[in-house]
Amino acid sequence: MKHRKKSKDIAPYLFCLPFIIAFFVIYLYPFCKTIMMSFQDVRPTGENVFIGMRNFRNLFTDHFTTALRNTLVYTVLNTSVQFMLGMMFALILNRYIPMRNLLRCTIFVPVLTSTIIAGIIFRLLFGSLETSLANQIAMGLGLIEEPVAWLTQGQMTGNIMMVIVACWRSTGVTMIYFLSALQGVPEELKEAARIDGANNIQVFRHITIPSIRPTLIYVLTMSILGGFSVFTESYALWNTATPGDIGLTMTRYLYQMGFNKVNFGMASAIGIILMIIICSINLIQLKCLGLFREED
Amino acid sequence: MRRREKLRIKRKPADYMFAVFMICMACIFLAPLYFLVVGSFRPSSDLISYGLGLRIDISRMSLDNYVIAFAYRSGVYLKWYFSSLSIMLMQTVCGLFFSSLVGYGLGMYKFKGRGLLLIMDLILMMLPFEILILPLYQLVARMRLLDTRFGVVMPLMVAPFMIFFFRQSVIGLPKELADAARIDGCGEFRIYWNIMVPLMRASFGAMGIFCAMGSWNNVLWPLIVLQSNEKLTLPIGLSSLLTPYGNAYDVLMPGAVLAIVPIMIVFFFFQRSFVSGLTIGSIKG
Repeated sequence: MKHRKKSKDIAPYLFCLPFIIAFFVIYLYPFCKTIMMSFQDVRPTGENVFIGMRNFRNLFTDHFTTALRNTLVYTVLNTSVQFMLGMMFALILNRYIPMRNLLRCTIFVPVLTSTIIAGIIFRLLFGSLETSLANQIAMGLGLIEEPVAWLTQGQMTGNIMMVIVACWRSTGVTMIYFLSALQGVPEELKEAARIDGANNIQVFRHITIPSIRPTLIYVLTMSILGGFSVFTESYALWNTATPGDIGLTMTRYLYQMGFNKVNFGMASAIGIILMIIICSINLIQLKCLGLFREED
Repeated sequence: MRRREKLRIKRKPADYMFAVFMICMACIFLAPLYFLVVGSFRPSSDLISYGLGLRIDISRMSLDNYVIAFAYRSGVYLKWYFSSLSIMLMQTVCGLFFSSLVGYGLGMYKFKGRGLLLIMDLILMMLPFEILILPLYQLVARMRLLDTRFGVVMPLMVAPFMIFFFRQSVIGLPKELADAARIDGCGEFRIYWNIMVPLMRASFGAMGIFCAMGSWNNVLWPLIVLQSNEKLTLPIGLSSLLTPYGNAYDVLMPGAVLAIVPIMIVFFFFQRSFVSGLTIGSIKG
């Protein structure tokens, strides 16, 4: 009897042991080390010199502000486009339109390609040749006179390219999230509102949106988190180097600083700033959520 | 069943307009894949001169690229494929095992420190992996796991989000089964392995897909850990074919097509698990 009681008491701790080990080795220790390194000059010999805020002060160069701006623009564009497209598709595909299942699948199929392959495809479609698809269409429509080198055109074009890749690949997921949520909205509520004279827009605003709010918040949070830590889209479009800092995102800059220029101190400083930004946004969101909950 | 449904559904005229609109959208969404597949049959010289566009010469299309892709650099493409698959398999199996273990412990038992562990898990879910990569790289280097596939998998084996999800599903399991088994003398791990795991099959399916897709897509960490050409994962390897000095389209195009095909097959057979695996976070169970 005593042995069995002991086994049950210890068991939960043994079950959780992998997490406890991982927490200290893979999360806490690297986290603290990153903070430490951001205040150090990390030398290859292993002797790190404490230099205070110098890394952070050296950080404010053109590269950094470009990376920050690109990341912000990308996040805002990506989140809004995916939100709108995903919601629009979900609303339409929630109705009983013909071939509904097939259409759902086709919007979802790009999700099955990995981001890099999506990037490679778009990199070729938006090539600088006259016969690349984008140039063919744009010249055919009379928008441009000569073929454009889309990927080296400018900062904004670069950001839009990343957004196109991300939206093509991920709108399917956003759509499915919203679709699942929309299917959970009780039909009776909508019917009751319509009987009371509400039109479709009013039903959407006052019944549908409040019902799917948890999903909306989740998708928004994940989009913003993903947006700020974007790396793969940039790597897919410009894998060897970012010409003139086109397509340079915060994480890409971190990677460049850490592994191309082997300056772990500066890279850690970038990481810290990235984390501060992401945590602030999370906190702001939590606060807004808290307010909303009290009002309800 | 389908015929009965069609009779009951009253289609408004707007529905047909929406269908036409969505067909246009679907064509736009599928177009890049069309160009990829068509491009994989075009000779490399065509792609270099004309790029990926509407202008195709059907008479020059063939399966040559596919043969070239497999022979390229003595079969390095297959090695990339193997790399990606083995990393995906390792990560999924280890991830499922460890995360379900911890989720089970957190969900099945009441013990001191449970609340603290849960809070730790929630905090970790919010922490972006990107800020840990530098010290993790040093750690993996010190453990001599650099340029190994296991080095790629190791930090990703215990995933906070998967732990959270497994805990949610374990909470819904019948604890009386566990009590009954205990009275019969069953050990705690056996209860987990033989009784509870089979009950969680749907969760394992969904989380398995979630983990597999995450691993397949992951670029940053494998890029940091893997260095020798043979061990590169498929996305990174395919990317390396595009260089400022020349693009190996004849390997890249069929390579990309063949990278997509297995996932498409898995998707069509396991649609429901797929969708639930990818949307698992937003459904508050």
